[in-house]
This record gives sequence, structure tokens and C-alpha cells, in this order.
Amino acid sequence: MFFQISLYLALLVCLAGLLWRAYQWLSMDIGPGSPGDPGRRCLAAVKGLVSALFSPGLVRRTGALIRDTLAQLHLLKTHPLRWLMHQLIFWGFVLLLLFHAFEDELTLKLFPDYASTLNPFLFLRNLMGILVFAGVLIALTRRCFISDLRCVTAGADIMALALLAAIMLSGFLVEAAQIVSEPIFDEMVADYYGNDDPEAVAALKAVWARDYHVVFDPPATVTETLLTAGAELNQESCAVCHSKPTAALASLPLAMSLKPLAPAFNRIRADQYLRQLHYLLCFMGLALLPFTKFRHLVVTPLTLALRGGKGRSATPSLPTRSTDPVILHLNRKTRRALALDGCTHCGTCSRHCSVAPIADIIANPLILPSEKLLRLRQSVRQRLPDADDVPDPFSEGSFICTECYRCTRLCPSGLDLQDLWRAGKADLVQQHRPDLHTRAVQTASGRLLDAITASPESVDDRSPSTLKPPSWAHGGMDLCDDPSTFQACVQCAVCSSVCPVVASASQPEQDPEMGPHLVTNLLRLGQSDLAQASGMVWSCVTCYQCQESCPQQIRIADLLYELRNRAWRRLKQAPPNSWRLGKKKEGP
Amino acid sequence: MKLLYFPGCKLDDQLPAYDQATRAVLDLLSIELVDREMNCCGHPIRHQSFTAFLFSAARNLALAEAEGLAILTPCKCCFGGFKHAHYWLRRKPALREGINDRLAEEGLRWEDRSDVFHLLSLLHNLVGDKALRAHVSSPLNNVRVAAHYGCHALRPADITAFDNPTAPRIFEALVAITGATPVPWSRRTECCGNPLWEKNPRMSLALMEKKLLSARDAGADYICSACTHCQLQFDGVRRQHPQADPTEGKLSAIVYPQLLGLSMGLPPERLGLGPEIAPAPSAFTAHSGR
Repeated sequence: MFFQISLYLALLVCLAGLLWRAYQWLSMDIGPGSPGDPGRRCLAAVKGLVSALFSPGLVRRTGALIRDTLAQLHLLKTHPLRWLMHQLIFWGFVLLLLFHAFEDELTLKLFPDYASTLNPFLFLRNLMGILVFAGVLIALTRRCFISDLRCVTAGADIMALALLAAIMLSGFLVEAAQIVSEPIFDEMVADYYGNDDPEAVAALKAVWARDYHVVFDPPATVTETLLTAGAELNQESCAVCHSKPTAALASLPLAMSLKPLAPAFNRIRADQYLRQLHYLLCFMGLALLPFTKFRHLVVTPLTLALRGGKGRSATPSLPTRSTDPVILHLNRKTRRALALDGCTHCGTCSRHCSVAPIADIIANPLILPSEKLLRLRQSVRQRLPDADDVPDPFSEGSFICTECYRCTRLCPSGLDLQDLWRAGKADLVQQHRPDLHTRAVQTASGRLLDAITASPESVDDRSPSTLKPPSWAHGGMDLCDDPSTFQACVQCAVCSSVCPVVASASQPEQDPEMGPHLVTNLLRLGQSDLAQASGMVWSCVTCYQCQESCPQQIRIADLLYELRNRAWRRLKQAPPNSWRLGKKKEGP
Repeated sequence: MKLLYFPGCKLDDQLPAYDQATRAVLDLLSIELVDREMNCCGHPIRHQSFTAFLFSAARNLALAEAEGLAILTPCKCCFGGFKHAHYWLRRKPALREGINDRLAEEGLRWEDRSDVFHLLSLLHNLVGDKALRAHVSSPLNNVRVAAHYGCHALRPADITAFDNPTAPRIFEALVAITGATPVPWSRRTECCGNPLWEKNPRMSLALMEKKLLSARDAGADYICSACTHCQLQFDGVRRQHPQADPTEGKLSAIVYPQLLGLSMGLPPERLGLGPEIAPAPSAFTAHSGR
């Protein structure tokens, strides 16, 4: 009863969760353009899938799908240990699920002589459990000892591993408690032996105490005579269904170590409690599937199927097989939502990210793709407010990405991350959260000056981060503080006459600071804040014409760089109302 | 010759043709390129944080030192970034030590032992005119090319040491080797506008428009660059914004190794030259009967 109720409850939660997920895949809106309603998105996805299904290359794509989902050979290329870890967990778990969890439905049909207490099933069950356990241990070790992987490991990753380990461990414990159980022995004798002759039972007890490690209270008498008699009885009545537990690689050692506690265990029927615990943990895993990274069991094959396996040439088949632009657009949206759920937070992207070294120095973990994706998921799901958080590390991290494509090429789940990042950036621009440079260009210099002066010249980074920036992170060329670097300026304005930005400024009269020589003049007057807010600083193309032409050899372009760096650090922390772009988007 | 190849972030996804052409040409010249996973050169983050820039660049330079190889990059911004990093790492001992301490965690160290080449300086200074000419089998006679220098390699010359910053000649010399005619044009050393793309699109397009006009007025058939960002500007950005293109799509943008590869008889498809940028037939028929 307990078993049935909790199983159906877990199934219900799992199904409801998957349905809810599917609804999200069809309604989540990431990237520019109309989101379309879920119905139309669903129709578009089906159309895309069908046209993908009946397009050339089906055989090749199916092959790739099998290769990527079952053998996971692409993981072997990233690291052999990683492949081993994933294969151990995957195959161990899948085989246990099929042949152990569905023993009545599947195993018994395939092997009519099946009994869970018979070899090779007894042995294989233990072996598979050990494989999963070993995989979990490798995963934990990797997450603890590989430093860049440690940085991106979150509680959810550890929880998922812990749940797997708990399922396996509780399984071993159930079996161990059953091995030593006297009450189970008594039940079996009553049910299958059908003879209550005390001498025969004593003989059986002797054999089961010695060979099967049942712990009797009081201890069974073991004599040669009893053993000889018992062996014969055992052969007749028990051995058909019971192999000696020697092959129970994990549960037998566990049972042996439990022996001193066994009488107490047997009195309270600990085996039953443990079995319920094991069921509960399994059902918990089932119920949590749509809500944890385990959902990649569903999403990754789906994503790979849609892409036709991993690999560069395999362009996403879902949107490209169709030529209808509306279908293309809707399916792109659906694929993005799917990608958010397909991420297993394995950290591959972040370990290979081109701009990962920057994350350390400016202490913003949202530069790392795996972290950025989590944050994107949060903000899309919960519709986080437009970022009243200042600094805005999500926008910063998004725009520091150079779109080098490496994460997309390496993602083991085949997610089109590049597309996701671009869509995310487009959304940020929509929400008036472009990168800080763009914001500064679009802000009138008076307001920019207010924002800059609103935060102090020397500030600590308050980014909420586990990354520790080094002490030298705020260092620089140190040009602005040293008057000798700009004091020699004679205001000849050669710099401004060669500056292509000054020449192309449409209304230079509206921007009194448009000219490098004006910036050096502000510095000479000790007006560093004004210089930092000047249009010249933010519109400089860094072509170094000014610096190359300066008759006084002033490092003008480098000065502009440094002023921009300083203003950046301050603007990052300026109160939002001092220079927020546009109006705050109305919440839903 | 063996070099550590640093394609930079944009080639893989946005400009694979430049990568393809560079590899094809260097392969023909028996220059071996070693591929290693490296990080962003640091140039893009220099706007925001000098130290983040310096650390990124130093890490790549230290990786090159660990390989015992010089870096070769086809991108002028990556090249300039590395040169700036060299300059400042030599002059800022405190930063250098801090960065080296960080790098030591990965077993790396910057000791100023590795050189950095841009594709053009490699071809001009190390391979040399003579060796290049020896490979030119189908000179691109009658093709007029506006060679666009690219700011971050050219200036500041005291740091980049690429060429004479006010009267450079390397690029024209390299164009001449292909048989094409380098045209004199007034804005050849000016900015393409790409550094402000997305940040200040109006200004970015205004700069591009002026350059294109200048090249068109000089009678060029092609505007030739040797920098990822310049090419992205003259090709992709320009295509998306025809209103800022005074040439109405003529004056195709081409990267130097494509030009060189064509003159060396490499097939266009090996140089990533698609139909939309394939050499204007009129320009090439002149020598086809040779």
C-alpha cells in the first residue's frame, strides 16, 4: 500500500513536472521577436520534427544519436575519466532500472527462472550498484580536486550525486539487512518448507547461519551432524531460489559488518524500514527528475535528435529543415528554452571558456558560460526585475563573451549556446541593460558625470562572487595620476585634428569635450571626473592617431583608455537612478 | 618554421574563411602551425580593465613560452594587444610579479621569451619577397587593391614596431607581390570603425563610409585587410547596413591571404572564397589567357 501510493505519487509528480517543463519549452521567450503562443510553437515544433524526420541523412543522424547518447564517445575526447564516470553511472543505473526496478515486468519475462536471490542476478545487481557508486565517487573527486571545476560546482550538483549515492547505498543496506534477517528466514521456512519438524529446522538454521550468514538469536547451533543434514534439506528446498551470498560484492561485506547489530535489527525488522527508505529515495529521484539536472535524461537526447548528433556540420535540423520563416523563428525560441533545461552544469564550457581568465580578475562568475546559463534560466523563469542590482554582473558577463564558439563546439549535450548568448544579449539591450560602454555612449555627458561622481574614486568590487580577485586587480598604467605624463601638453590640438572621431562627430559643438586635447587639458586642470565623463573618452576608437602624432609624445590614447577604465569601475557601482537608460520595463 | 597559431576569438564562428585562407597559404609556404587551446587575447576587455587585459595576454604569452614557440596571429587587434602586454609587463614589475604568481598556479610563467608576429610581418620580414614571389604562379594583373592597414598593428609604433606609422609600405609591397596594383588612397591608415560597432553604431558606420569612399575614389576593385575586425566591418557589418555603403556592394572586401592564395594558384574554395566575394570576372580574365 505504502509502496503503491508513493510510487504513483512520484509518477504523478514526475509526469506533471515534465508536462510543466514542456509547457515552458513552448512558452519561454528568449531573444528578439514575438514569442508566439504555446499552441503555435507546439505545431511548429511538430512540423519541424516531422520534416527533419523525413529528410535525407536520417540513417546518419540516427547513428550519431546512438553514438552520442549511449556510448557518449564525445565525452571520451574531453577526458577519459569523465567518460568512464558518466558511462559507469549511466549503464549501471539504466541496467538496474530495467532489470531490478522492473523485475516483474521485464526480467521475469526474459528469464523465466529469474529470482532476485539467484546468481548471476544477485552478482550483477551488486556489480551495477558498485559501478554507479564508483561513478559517483569519481564525479565527486573531480568536482573537489579540479580547481576550475570546483569553481562552478553548486549545491545542486552535489545534491544530485548525493541522491544517486544514497539510492545505491540504501539498496546495499536493504540486501545486507535481508541477509542477516532471522524473521525472513522464519517466513521463508513457513512459506516454502512446510515442515515444522524442529530437528529439520535446526539443521537448516545451521546451514543458513554458516553459509548464508543469517544471524539467529539465540545463535544457531552449528554441528557437523546438523550441517550434513541441513545441506541436504537446503539443496532440496532452498537452493533452487537462493545462491549463497558470496557473490553479493557490496551487501555481503556490509552484512558481515552489521552482524553485531543484527539481533537488534531483526527485532525491529530493520530490513522493512530500509526497504521503504530505498523505495522512497528511488521515488524521490523519479519525482525530482523534471526539477533537477536529471532531466537531461530526457532533454539531451531530444536536443541531440534535433541537431542530428553533435558536431559542427550537424546544423540544428529542427529549424533549418523548414523554410517557413515563422516556423524557423518559433522553433528557435523553443530550442533556446530546451537548451536552458538541457544543461547538466558539467562545467565543460567554463573550463574551456576563452574569457574565463577575466572572470577571476574582475571577480564576476557570470562570465563563465555554465553560470551565465543558470542565471539566464533564473531570470527567464522567475522574470527577475530588470536589474536593480548594481553592479549588473549578468549584463557584464554576457557582453564580455567574445562569441568564440568554443563552448558551443564542446558542449557534451550539444546545446547551441552561441545562439543562446546572442539572444540573451539582444534581450538585455531590450531591457535597457546593454554593456556599460554602450550605456555610457548613450548617456548625456552631464548625467554621466553625475553617475561617475556619485561613486567614489577608490572602490572595492562588491560583485557577489566566490572568486577572489587578486590584490593587483585594480592596477593600471598609472598615467592619470602622474602629471608628468600630460603636463607637457601645449594644447596645439594636433591630436584633435587627426582624430577620426572628432572629424566624424555630427554635432561637435554639442559635445564640448570632443577632442583629445580637451581631455588632456581637463587633466592638467585636475578635473579627472569631468575627463572621465567626456564624450571623447567613450567615443575613442583606440586608433592611436593622436598619440602617434603628438609632438610632445604624450600617451594620449593610453590616457583615454585609463580614464575609461576608471570611470567603468565607478559606473559599475553607481546608483541606477543616476543614469538608468530609458524607462523601467513594466513587470508582468 | 613552426609557430603557435593564435586565430583569436572571432574566426571560428564569424570568419572561417580568413582562417582557411591563412592555413592554406602558410601550408604552401611550408610554415607549420601548432594549435593549442588559448584564451582571449585580452584586447576586448582593455576598455574595462587593464589588469584583466594584461593577465589574459600574459597567459597566452606564457603558454607560448611553455611551447617554446613564437605566436602568429592573423588579427591586428590580437597582435597589438600582445605587443602592449609585452611593453607593460616589462615596465610594471609589481603587476608582472602578481600575474606570474597567478600563472604559477597553472605551472606557467611570463619571462619575455616569446615573440609575436602578425601574418603580414611574418610574410614580409621572415618569409620575404623572394620566397613569396617564387610561389606566385598566376599573378593578379589588372586587379586594383586598396590595402587597409589596421590601426592596432600600426600604432603606437614604439610598441608595435610593425612599420613606419606615418608612411607604411609593408602592405602595398605584399599586395604588389601578388601581381595586383596597390592603389594610393588617402585614408589607408585610418580606422575601419569596428572598435565602436555595437557601442556607437552611428560613429562606427560613419568611419567605415569615409574609408570606403576613399578607396572607391582611388579606383580600387578590392579593399584588402589583414585583420579579423576590419574584415568583419568591411564585410558583415557593411552587408547589414547598405545605407552606409557608398560603393553599393562593389569594392569587395578580401583578406590578404585570399589574395596571395589566388596568385599562388590555390583554388578559391580552399581560400574560403564564396560566390558572393569571388574575384570579379572582369579583373581576372585579363590574365587567364596567359
